[in-house]
Amino acid sequence: MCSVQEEAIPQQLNQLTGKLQCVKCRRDVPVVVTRVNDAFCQDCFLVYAVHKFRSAIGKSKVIVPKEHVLVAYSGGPASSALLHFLQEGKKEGKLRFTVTVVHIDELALVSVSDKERQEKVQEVVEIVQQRGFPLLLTSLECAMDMVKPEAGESSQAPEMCKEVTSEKEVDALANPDKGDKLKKLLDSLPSISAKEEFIRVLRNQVLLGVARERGFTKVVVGDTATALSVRIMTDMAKGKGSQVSFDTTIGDKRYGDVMVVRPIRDLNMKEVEAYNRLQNVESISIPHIADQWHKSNSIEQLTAHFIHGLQENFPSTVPNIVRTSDKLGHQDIESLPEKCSLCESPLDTDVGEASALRAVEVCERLLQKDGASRSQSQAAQSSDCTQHDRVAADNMKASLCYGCRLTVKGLRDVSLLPTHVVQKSQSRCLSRDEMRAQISEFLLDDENGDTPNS
Amino acid sequence: MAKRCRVCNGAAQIKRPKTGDIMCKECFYYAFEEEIHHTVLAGKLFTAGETVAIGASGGKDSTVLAHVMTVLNERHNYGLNLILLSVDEGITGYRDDSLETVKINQQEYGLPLKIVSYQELYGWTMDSIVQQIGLKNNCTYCGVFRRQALDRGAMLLKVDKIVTGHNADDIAETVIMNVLRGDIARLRRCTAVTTGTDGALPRCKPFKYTYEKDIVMYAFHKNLTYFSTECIYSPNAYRGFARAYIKDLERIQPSAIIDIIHSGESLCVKKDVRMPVQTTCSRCGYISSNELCKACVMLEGLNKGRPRLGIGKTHKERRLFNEELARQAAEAAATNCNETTTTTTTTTTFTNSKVCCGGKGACGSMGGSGQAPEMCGSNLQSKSESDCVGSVSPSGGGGVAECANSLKKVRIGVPTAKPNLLEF
Repeated sequence: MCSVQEEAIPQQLNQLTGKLQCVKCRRDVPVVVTRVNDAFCQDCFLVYAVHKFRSAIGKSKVIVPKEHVLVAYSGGPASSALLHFLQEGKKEGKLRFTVTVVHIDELALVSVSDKERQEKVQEVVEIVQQRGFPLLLTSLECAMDMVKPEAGESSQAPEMCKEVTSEKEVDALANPDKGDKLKKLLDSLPSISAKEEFIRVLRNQVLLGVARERGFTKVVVGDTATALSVRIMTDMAKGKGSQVSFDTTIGDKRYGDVMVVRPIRDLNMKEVEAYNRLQNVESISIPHIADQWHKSNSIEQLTAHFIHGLQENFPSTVPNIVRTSDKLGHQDIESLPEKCSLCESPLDTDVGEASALRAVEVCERLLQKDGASRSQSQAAQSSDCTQHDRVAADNMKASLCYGCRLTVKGLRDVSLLPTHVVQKSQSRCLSRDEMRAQISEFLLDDENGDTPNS
Repeated sequence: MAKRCRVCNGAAQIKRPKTGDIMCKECFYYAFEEEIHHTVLAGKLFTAGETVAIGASGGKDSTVLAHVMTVLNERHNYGLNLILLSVDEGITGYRDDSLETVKINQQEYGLPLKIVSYQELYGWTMDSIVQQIGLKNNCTYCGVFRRQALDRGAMLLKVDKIVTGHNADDIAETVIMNVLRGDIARLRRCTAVTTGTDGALPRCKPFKYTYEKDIVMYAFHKNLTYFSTECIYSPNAYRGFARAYIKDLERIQPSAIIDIIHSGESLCVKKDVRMPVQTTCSRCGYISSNELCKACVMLEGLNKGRPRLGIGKTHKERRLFNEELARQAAEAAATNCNETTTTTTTTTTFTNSKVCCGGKGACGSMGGSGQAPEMCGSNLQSKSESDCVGSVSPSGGGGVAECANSLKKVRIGVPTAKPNLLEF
């Protein structure tokens, strides 16, 4: 940080004397300044950007040749650039895998008319078709019900996504019922930070769901270094430190069957935007619920504001943060740790007594210490909360990671959560009940009034 | 309608910052103290009969810490022998005033108090350091020196442990700072409730999960006297950003502070990442990641009138300095060839008499507290010194090679220390 000013001096000198030249070819006039003070001419910059993308895939060896991969496309600048990289690779015959694009329609969360919704989706369809990739359309509300069909009845289960073959089919994917369920759930989440986290998890679930349904084992996403650094800090702030490594690595293996790949994680947002400008890559601005949120009420927006502000004054901020996450690992997934029923990350709640989680629990327990009478009176007050609901809530809580517990914390009715999540949390406690049944005769339980006479 | 306490249903006076619960004062005090008690128990911070130094600055955290430790020690029979320990950085208009507060606390709780000063330990006050280096990076000096000063003071008092008033906000801030800076080794260490268990004096943070605002609330309602002025020298700007971020987060979601600590606790470092190995400083024996500890490097810079030696890109400063030394040595060799081997060695290697003095003085004080006395003296194998071996005049070079061959830890040519430092 101290060196920033020192290094800025030659740059300024260059500008004064007018001898500015590309750092790479030392010939042409630069058009883009990237990293700290590296000025690139147009050609060299494009080579640089494409190289970053290709080397990320090449070096990491996460994608096997001839593999079919699913590429997530939101319409934003980063994923638009990603599609362009892929198209260029395909044109040159250097793309060694085949690409299917998936777009998640999230307009159910915003109050737009069906017509507008259709128009926006139409724009997506046009861009993807222009790039020459097949497109699957799905919507965020699909994730509200992703119950895995039994082996026999798979044909009856509603499909997660639709292929776009002709333009007429576009409007058929909105699902008003599930859309309403999703809205109701979001409304009952108490904080913006919980809402944004839930939407993110849901988006991830849709991607995984589509990939699983269509038999893809790789999902490619357009996370830039800038987006990742915001992700890392947001994860930290939301108690998801154990997921930082998964959320940012090039090949995220936490789900086991589907891997999430991030090939443009070495490019920052500024570079992506420069690339889009130089290559005339179009992106679409789609209204999003997050547009209404602000840094005074959303942790993610606050973090983004914080990182972007730092990045302006200290250009090494983003690379520093990403490099930190590169040094982080995760618990061994081979050992099949229990997974969170919401975000499918390994649970991070099996901690020792001296831990933040226990400290929080002690804090809560101390509040109730004095009052057996008080807790009864409180239970009487909230009579709508039945015993059964409380058990369901406790089971749900036990099946979630620390971060997801925070997300659903203020939720009064856990049955509002996506059906598959509720089922998973129940099956978890069922399996515990089964275990209990198996060993019941050896448990010296005072509940059984008549002890077995052995 | 008067608000009712969540716990006892009595009249409530406060809304607790950490949880937002409406409580009465007594229930808040109890919850506040018992949470700290839980941290103490769960972290197995103390065993009965230990002597524990409370790092007391006179600020709110350490004042409340001294109070709560006294309360808990009695209530739960910890069986601890508590001592207040203060560091006087020598900042006029700041530390002298806050130390007055510590003295008031001392009388209130009837605890013994020990003050160690930078002047005694290093021969420099912060005021004189700032005169040398200005208002940039001065906090780096102060931070590094304070850490050591506290340990040295504690060793003098022969205590078993040090407790500091680092609160949850401080720890969350440090986690964020270390992520921003990419300091993986510190990121891993900074959430530990006890640090320095291997070798050095263990340091504990009983306030690890205690919110700063709770501490202020506690101090305010208990009418504890504390000193609350910002240091007169400019605060560390970069840390200021992290601090502001934490405060903003807390405003959105009060649990964020403890969530960050949970995140920090659940991070695990990849196995193949190289970690700096913690060793001891070859000059003063203090725990260090390098051959020489940061304090010794900084002190050396100060004593040589090259304060930048200790901060930022060390190698650049050091190279320039070594070049200058080489030039001087060459001139000296040309004019006067019949110097003795040892004197040449000492003047040409990095250690000059004044630095040895500082190191020696500090070591001397540690020696008094049972530390091995052979820790002082310069180690020939040290990287910084072997860097300059090439620039030594012919006769001196021979001396160095000879010594280096003979033993790994040789004490060579340490001039007799000028006792300008107070011995304890």
